[in-house]
Amino acid sequence: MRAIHPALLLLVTYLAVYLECRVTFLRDLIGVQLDILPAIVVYASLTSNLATVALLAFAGGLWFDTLSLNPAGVTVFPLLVTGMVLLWFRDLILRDQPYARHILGFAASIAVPALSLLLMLSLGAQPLIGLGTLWTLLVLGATGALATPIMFTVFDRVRLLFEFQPLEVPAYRNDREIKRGRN
Amino acid sequence: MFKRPLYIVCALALLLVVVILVVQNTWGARIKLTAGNLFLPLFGLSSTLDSGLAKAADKVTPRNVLLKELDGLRTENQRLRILGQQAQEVFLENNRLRGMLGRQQQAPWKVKAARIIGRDPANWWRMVHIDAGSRDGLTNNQPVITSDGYLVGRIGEVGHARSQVVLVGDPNCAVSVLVQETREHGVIAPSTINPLDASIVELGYLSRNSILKPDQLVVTSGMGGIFPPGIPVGRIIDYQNVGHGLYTQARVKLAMAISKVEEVWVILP
Repeated sequence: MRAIHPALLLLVTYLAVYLECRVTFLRDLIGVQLDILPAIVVYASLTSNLATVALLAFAGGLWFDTLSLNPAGVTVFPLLVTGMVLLWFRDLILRDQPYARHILGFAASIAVPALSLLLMLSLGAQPLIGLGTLWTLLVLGATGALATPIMFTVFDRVRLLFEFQPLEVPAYRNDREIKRGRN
Repeated sequence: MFKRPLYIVCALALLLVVVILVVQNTWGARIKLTAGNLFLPLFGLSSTLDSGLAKAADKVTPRNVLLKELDGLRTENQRLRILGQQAQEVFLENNRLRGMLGRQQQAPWKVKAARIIGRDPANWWRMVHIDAGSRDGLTNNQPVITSDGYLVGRIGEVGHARSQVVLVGDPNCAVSVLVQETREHGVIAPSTINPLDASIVELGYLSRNSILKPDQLVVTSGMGGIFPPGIPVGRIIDYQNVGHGLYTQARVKLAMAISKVEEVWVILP
């Protein structure tokens, strides 16, 4: 049962990368292709273990680069770094608070493309960057801020379908029962 | 907070990424091709869905509309046949004259139709995926045009059933062009003012005495060996002297709008 959660995350990542390549009407409308990979990694870092985060960053990044002109592996590094940092400070993050999810999604969705661009520039690639890149990063950040809490809601609900739910302890305890009369 | 397994996995994962980035030039294309094959079922599924929807739409189209369209297509076909015969005559005459002048004869284009099935998910490249690959005779660097004959780009990487087309205006697709009216040569490059605007590119390396006017047609020059001459690229918007007046640079509005293109033609050798 435990394998279902990482498998589900991988499946959603796979579909998300494909849809980012296939569905382009929003790109034609606002000039930016939305990306939810950072939001998925944020969710995975705050709810899963190290292996899941590493697998997700590796597979998601490589799939993304495969369908893009990015050099292979250039998106893996930022996703991995983002996931590791969040995993590292997981105990200090107020992950149950909605505003924390918004902020983490926003920051991760800006950090991942910015790191990818830096890495590509250092590798000698010439991506199309200019003043419009700021608008792109802003839209990506906003997308992450919106998508991250949605990831938590949806994945948590799906998770409950496949995993054992915690037993609710009633307020009434049998061992404290006052028994009257003779036994 | 700081745990040993985390530290080890971090180091291993980063090492793996570094290895992939280092072997980029030799193994990068192969890694991408292998990983990209995972998406073939989804691309196939969406193609099947698209064709199914198109068939369903055909079935619900009224008969009188179809008959009217058929009549229009028959007329168009007859007109194009006459134009084709004329073009064939002109082509043969041109080749005879080229032969007399001792110039290399032009071969007629062989084309292969393909559908656009996706775009680059990253925001900093201009690339599309098409549903034709090496099984259809495609190889790297073949020119791609729209059904109207406008330049789209060139084939980047070729898979078995899918290829990447690098679009005009991407840094990886420099095009040698000329202004049709004045025969001035230049090179198309991404716009430096707004590189993310996919419809406008820059025409650089024009001589400083260039006499340009807005709306002049820019076509491929045939130099560079990838694009045959005479393919329309776009029209000039405006121009200015740059490099302390050493040469002229013009802004060109591309003739093809990639958001509106669904089918393309690959020119085969």
